[in-house]
Amino acid sequence: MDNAGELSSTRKERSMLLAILNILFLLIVPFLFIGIINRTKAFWAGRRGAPVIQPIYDFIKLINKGEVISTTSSYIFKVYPVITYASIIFAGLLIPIISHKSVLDFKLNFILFAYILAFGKFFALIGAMDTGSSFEGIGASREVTFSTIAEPAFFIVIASFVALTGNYSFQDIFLFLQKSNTFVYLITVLSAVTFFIILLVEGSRVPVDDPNTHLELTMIHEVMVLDNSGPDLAFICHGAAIKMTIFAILIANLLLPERIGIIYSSLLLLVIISAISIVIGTIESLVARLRMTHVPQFIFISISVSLIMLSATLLFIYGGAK
Amino acid sequence: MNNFVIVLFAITTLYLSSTSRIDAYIKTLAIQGFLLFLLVFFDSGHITGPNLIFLYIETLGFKSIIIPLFLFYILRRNDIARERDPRIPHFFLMAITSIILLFGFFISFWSLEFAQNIDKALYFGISVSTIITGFLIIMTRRKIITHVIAYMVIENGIFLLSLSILKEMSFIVNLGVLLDIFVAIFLLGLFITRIHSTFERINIDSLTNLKD
Amino acid sequence: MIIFFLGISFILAGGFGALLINEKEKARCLAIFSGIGTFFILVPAIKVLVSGITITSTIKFTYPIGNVSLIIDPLSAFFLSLISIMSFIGIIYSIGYIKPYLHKRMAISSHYFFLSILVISMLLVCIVQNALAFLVVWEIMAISSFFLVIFESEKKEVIHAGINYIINMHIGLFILMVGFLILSINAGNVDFSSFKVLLNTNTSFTNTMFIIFFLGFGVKAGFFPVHTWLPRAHPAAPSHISGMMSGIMIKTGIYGILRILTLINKPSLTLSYFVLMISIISAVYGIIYAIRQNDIKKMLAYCSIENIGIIGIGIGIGMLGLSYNNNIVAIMGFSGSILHILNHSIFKGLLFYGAGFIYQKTHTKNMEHLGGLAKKMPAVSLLFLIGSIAISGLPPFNGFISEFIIYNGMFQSFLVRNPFILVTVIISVASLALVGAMALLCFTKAFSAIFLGNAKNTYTESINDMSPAMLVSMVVLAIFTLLIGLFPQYVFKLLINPVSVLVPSYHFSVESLNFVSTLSTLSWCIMAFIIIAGLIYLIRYLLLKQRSVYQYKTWDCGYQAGNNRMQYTSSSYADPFLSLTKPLVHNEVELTRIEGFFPQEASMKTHNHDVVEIYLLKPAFKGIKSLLNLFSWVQSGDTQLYIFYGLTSLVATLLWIMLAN
Repeated sequence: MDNAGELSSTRKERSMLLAILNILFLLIVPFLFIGIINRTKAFWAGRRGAPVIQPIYDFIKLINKGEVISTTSSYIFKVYPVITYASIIFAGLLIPIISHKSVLDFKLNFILFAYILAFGKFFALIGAMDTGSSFEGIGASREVTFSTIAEPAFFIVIASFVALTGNYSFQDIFLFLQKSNTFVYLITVLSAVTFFIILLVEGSRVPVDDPNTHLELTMIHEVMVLDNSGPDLAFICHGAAIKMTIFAILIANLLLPERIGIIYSSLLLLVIISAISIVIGTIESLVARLRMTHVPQFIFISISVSLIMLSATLLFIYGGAK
Repeated sequence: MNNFVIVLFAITTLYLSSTSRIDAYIKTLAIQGFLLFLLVFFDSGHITGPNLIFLYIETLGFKSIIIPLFLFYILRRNDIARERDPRIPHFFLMAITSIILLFGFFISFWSLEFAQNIDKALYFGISVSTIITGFLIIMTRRKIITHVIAYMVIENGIFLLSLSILKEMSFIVNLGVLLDIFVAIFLLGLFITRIHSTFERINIDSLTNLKD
Repeated sequence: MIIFFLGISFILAGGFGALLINEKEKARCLAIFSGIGTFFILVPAIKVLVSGITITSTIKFTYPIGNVSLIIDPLSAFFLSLISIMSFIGIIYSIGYIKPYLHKRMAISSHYFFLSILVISMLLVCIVQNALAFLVVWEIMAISSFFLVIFESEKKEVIHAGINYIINMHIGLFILMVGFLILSINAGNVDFSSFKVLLNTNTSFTNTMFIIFFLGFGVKAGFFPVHTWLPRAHPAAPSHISGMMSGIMIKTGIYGILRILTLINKPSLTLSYFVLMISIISAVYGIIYAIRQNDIKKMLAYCSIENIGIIGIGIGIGMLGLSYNNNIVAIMGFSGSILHILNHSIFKGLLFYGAGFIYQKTHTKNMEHLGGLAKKMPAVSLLFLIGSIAISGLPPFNGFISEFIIYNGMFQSFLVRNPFILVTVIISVASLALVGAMALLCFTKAFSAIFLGNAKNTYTESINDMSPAMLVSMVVLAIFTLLIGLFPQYVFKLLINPVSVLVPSYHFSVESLNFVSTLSTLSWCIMAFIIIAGLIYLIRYLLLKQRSVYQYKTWDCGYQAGNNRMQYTSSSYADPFLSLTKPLVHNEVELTRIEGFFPQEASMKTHNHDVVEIYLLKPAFKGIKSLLNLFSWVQSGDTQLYIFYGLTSLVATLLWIMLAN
């Protein structure tokens, strides 16, 4: 949706089409994202692996099932998957997807982005604690620690972008980032690294968390949803996939040139997102999960990278631009 | 005429320091009240209206009649007669009181020269000496009822001070003095019996146990 | 102004009435009278708030106070409305809370009397403009709140906490007296307006004076490092008093700082950075300590320190805007902090009242001993949940809005092309985000430990009977939370007038209108989010209608001997995070180990102490004590000796005056 003054009917139709495309992209691509990751891991393991669209089949299967509710839990347990899912979808509406345009664009929408995700996480945490099981408790306590450490990194990166471009919403930042300038491109690459680390944290990927081992070895994300079943579990899995895809889209949009057409942009986006998922799958196959006490240090790397990015931004603005 | 009354007032404070009978204290208090009434009566040119009536009631009524009667009642109730074993012998106390009186006169003459806005210099000097004498009596006597009487003497001195400094009698100063009197007599009257029954003597020596 | 005093006299009448009426009706009496009084106070306050005019009046006292001018300008009007409405809600809550104490011969009548005095003194603090009268009313506020804190005076730790509180308040009062004395002597007059000229001439003088006043008011507000009374006084006080103290009384400290700020035309850069730094440290310190606590009220007290830090960050950003002559930044910073003052009193009141409810039913404030209450009291759990979400600054509630406005101020300050301010502001952005994330940790911990999971003990008292007064007050606060969160654009319009007192050269500019449109877009987006969530819930409901949903116990990996103590407790939930903060805090561990090879009894106790208390205050007081012990011979216990001391000094003074002439 454009915030400009007079809209001709074609422009209005174009923005409606773009919004619908963005929403479809947001809902469908995550399945493929997870599928490609699994396929890559299978490749490295020497297997053939499930088809890339397998997550879609899993989703439909789960939706058609009933549910088992724990007797210990209260009303929170019944509502939290819906709330978390809705918050992730809503956050996806705020980011720029195809041709650097987001569905909901207004000043400082990145603050709403971060805080809506936090709102979803609040409910995920209390929903996990609601079952009264020590498994979910372990997962919740580790999850909350890691995301607390990762939170300032995101804000430092976005604040540096605001200082660099002088614009205040996601869409405007991405549109006006002059990637033609090599120094700015360096800053962009640094921020992409930060976002990648945040993706690994939020998406519970190696080296922070191993999504294959649900118990005993790593108890972070997977163990938080042990007691969920049926449509709730479908929402949670799809939501997690969408969250990862959101960060992948942010990284992709950072690396893509601005002001390109819809078709060209969506194709490039798909290519880069697939590349990112292949990279994630490769890392998962080749790198071991970190010791639990070393994970905070790893997440702190994201803060250090964001601080390096901040200093680079300062150098760019106040020193001579390279 | 006024100066004569003032000098009589000074002599009463001297008498206070020499005697050790408590009903003598109370009678002196009554006489002091009457002398203050005379002062206000002769000075009534400056003060008018309800203030004057108030002052008359305060000096004649309270200080001369009601409070001494109340104190006599307490005396009978608790069977007190004399002040025993003061801290310093009577002779020394009388000597110090005379020195204070001289000091008071000295202050009066000093204020005539250096502090021009004091109207009646003699009042000022004598009032200071009365206040200091009152403090001295509290310092050297042991019975609580003596302390209260000396407190009344201090209040009389303050009354005299306010007569001398202020152009017109300040209502607020009087109210403050009355409040002090009220509280002291009230406390003394209500609790003297209880203190007597608890401590079995009305000395203040045992109060040192309250030290931290 | 007459209507205002009519309101005050109604509240005072309520207090006196509480002394006379019989036990059961005391709270109701005060509630009715304070309700009428609140209405009368709100009439001039809202009028000033909305229209921006100023109401003045003067009361003539004699020397030494002189003329006391009373001014209701929009800043005072904001605080007046806040204090009156929140006190009224608190008194309504206390109707239900005081019920179990009614027949135990406790000092309820004096409690309600002092409550009315506290409310009146807080209201008067906001309007007097005379330094001496201000100090008098400030002291009345401190003393009346002391009597309220020690309500349960039969417990020793309550008395200790109360004495700690009153001593801290007097230290603050002393610092304030020093400040006001210096200003009055130099200005020759005790009225605030005469300080204005004085404070705008010499920068270093203004800086020193502001820091003195900041420290003095900071004791009341709870800034680091003078916050140590807060975590002691709040658990000791009854819950409605904790809620009112944390929600309203602390904010009078902020009012004092803001009032001094209005006297300074352009704060220097040193001051702005100072306020910003202290606030960031307070916020981070407060929330880390809040996470360490297992006592609900102590945690909420430390959380108040954190929120005061956030308010201070807003004030710091506003002051930065004033120093750099950037009006937009100043407006955003101050409106964010003023809105956060309102928001904090709403959701902190909600949380404290919920904690009081829990304490009343379960008789414990320890989170570790609670659990599973969401099934027993679903209404209170929902209200506490709303409070927790609001205090973590999450949409759709009001905490998010004030943080959003402060963020806006921070981001707008990038327009000032200065590298130093850029770095500082980005660090404050990161700190604010970090503090918000830690608050999320803290309140998920609290909510889970208290309400979710299984009960760790069996509860003896029947939990189901809910007092309607307590519920009504909490529901009203929750509705306020939601309304401010969903309709921020209207609330922002109300804030413009108080902020314009602080930013005098402000004109209603286009940029500000742009922000209002941003806020309305924000509100539409949040409502869209709620609709999306509702739609998805509908889809889930439709999906599950044809499927089977059945109940079974929590999956336990086949372990058959599970019991309720096996679930994750609040300290275990917070442990991974707290292990990261170990170097910053002081932990005392008492450990009795097992000797030898065979099983024996062992125990471990941990105490967490406040770092400021252990490393700063305790050694200082030890030093003062040993110094003063040298003079203990002066105290002989003999009253006549003391009179002798006094008399000698009196005579010496007289002689000195006479000889000096």
